Amino acid sequence: MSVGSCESVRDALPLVLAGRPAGVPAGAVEAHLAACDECRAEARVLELLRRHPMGVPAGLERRIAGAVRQRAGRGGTGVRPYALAAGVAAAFVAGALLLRERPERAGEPAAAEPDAGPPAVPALWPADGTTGASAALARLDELSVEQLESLLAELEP
Amino acid sequence: MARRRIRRREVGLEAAAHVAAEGPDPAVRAGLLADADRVREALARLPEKQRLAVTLRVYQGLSYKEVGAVAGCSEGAARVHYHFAMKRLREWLQ
Repeated sequence: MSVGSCESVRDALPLVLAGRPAGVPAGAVEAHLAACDECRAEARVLELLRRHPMGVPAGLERRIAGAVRQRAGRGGTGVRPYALAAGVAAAFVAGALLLRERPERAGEPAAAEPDAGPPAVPALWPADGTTGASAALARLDELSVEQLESLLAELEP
Repeated sequence: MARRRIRRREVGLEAAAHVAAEGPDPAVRAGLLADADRVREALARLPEKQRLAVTLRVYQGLSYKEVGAVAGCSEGAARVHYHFAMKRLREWLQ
């Protein structure tokens, strides 16, 4: 999964919008969104979701707080220092979306991925499971709903 | 006294005009409400773990590892749940 691939950008987007470190350079996300219709569509859905916040199920707050505390304890930082970054990050993603509102030329595919190596739909995991499952995990956005379902069945027997 | 009353009425009218000018257009408001309903419905249609993965990622900004810790599944499974959910939400909400 290269920096700037659809996979890494989609993994990073919710964290970027939330102002959390996403492990991908901010410029790479922005540049990718400017060139990729599909990821821009995903960013739009994420923004729509974020405009209408829904609560988490009752009783989960403590577990969430625990997970976040663990992160802080590992030498990382808690959520608070990222609050300032949130506005900036959200603004640049929103800006990238706005910039890209102009219509695309019909019939022309989005800019080709730099890592156009793997086949469109990867062969799922072989009989032994583990290695194939991790290969499939690396390219989740290319999997169909059925493939995702069988991957889940494997991960959560 | 009368002048003060008139002044107060003017202020009231000004405020009303201000609210009317600033308040959301009914069509815009209807659109916002419709969006909120669509989001709520779409999230409600997702299976529980997918809904949880999306909620924790999008609204709480948690990593897959953290989502796994909260949802009681592996990091890999959390990632699959999230991607699965986003695939569906894009279909339903675009």
